[in-house]
Amino acid sequence: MIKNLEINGYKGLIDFKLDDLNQINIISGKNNVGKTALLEAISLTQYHKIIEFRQELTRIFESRDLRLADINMFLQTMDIVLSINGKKRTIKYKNGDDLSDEEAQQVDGRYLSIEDFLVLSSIENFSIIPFFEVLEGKYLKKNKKKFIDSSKPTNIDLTNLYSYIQDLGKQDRFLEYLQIIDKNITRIEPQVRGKEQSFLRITLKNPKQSLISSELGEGTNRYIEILSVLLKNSNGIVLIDEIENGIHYTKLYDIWKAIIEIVQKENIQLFVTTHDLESIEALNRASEDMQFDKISSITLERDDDNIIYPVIRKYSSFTATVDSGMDIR
Amino acid sequence: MRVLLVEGITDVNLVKYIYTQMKDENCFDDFEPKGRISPKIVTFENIRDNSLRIINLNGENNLEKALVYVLKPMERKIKTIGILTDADKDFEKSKQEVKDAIEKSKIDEDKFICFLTPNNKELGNLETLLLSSLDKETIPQLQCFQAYKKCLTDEIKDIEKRAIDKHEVEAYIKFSEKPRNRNQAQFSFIDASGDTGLWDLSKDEFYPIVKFVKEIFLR
Repeated sequence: MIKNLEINGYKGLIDFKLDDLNQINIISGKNNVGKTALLEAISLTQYHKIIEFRQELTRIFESRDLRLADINMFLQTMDIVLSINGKKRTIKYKNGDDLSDEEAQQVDGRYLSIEDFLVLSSIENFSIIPFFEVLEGKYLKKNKKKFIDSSKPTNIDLTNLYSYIQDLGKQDRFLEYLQIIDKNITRIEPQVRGKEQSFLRITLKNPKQSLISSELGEGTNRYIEILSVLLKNSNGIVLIDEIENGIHYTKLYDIWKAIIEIVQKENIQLFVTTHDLESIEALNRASEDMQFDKISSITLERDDDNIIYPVIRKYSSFTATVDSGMDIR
Repeated sequence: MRVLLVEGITDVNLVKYIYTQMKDENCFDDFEPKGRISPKIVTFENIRDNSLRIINLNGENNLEKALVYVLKPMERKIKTIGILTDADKDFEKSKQEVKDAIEKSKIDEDKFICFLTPNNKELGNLETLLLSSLDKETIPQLQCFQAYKKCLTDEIKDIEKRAIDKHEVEAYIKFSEKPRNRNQAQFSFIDASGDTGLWDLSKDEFYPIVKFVKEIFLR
């Protein structure tokens, strides 16, 4: 579990430090204070293979709708030093001239004419990726395995995610959790129609109906996405951007209860952003009712010099602040 | 952000009333209650200027909790913290209790301004302040109340002065000349039809507390 982290530079986050992270970390703050950037910086360092890093970059490029010129700029300003529990992982742009001797040795002979690189390093090793390979990542399948962005999931996204649930044999539990948001759902199964078309088919009890999941509300699809990603990532990290998107506020309490149960059973560390007070209040109530105190709240603020800094609250402070009505968004 | 911590709902309403007179406009309801409405700490956030907050501690015992758990994490955002509490029967002891809570919170002491009712000098509480501003001899219900009070204290031992004072404030409000749904002290400043005129903030007795509230919200 990530207990603390440091980010030297990633988008608006500069010399940014977080301590006291917990099993559920709820990140709030006004627009443009780096909530999504914080999730991205964490997710970028969570790769096991370079291909996963490139897939995650691709997902970020797509979700931020970056064009080629923007991507170049984006990469050239990248300087993430993420210290997870004292172990550093860095992702840094380097010009060919700035490579260390060891790094230059690795690229020597292969990329003589290339000038721009991303250098990924950890305690164990380092990897050098020339820009053109990163840009080729644009054509890679985007990675939706642990990062749920704020956009609406497509039918293909949901079918792919649900296939992991089938792989793991967790369909029954999935349905049980899904019924929290709609008791009327009795069955969920993937369906393929033709070469390109796949979707989830949902069977409803009353009136008896069989629908494609996208015919149901946006909230249900969002919740299917959240459930799939959580149940897929046992003993791992899950990041959710704007959790409340599409979900009716009356369901938030039950959804948080389900999430708390899943993260405990599956041993997941969760990072969630929100700017919705109802979502924060629902988490507060659900955690109190479930006697779950492994929560930290992180509010991102800007100081007088416009520098982003975090206000970190441990559980006792989080719950006292929310109860008191002091706005922590 | 400027935050004023008070002990109860009557304090909240007096502060709101002072703020309204300070701004010279009808803004009594600008401070809206947030959070869970229960016997816990409740924040009143100003809807026009959300950097201004009144926190009702619903009892002084919550002061340390509010400072340690609610305000300490957001210290960097806070310019001034006012604490309005009662001097009660021992001014120095009450002052020390506030000091101890501030110290435990580890919030920069320079951010604090404290005021002990009635006037930051004498013993008593908010009711002492409110009653001291009234000319009892010219108010019929208070003249009657003095006889009632004597009878009560003669007949029943150990009645707390504060209980009698609260009762006297209620009698003043309830039987005032133009009664308008003023069954509780909290509606005695401004009610549905506007300023009740029951409390005259230009009186000398109110000067110290008005100065204190101005300092919190204008400093």
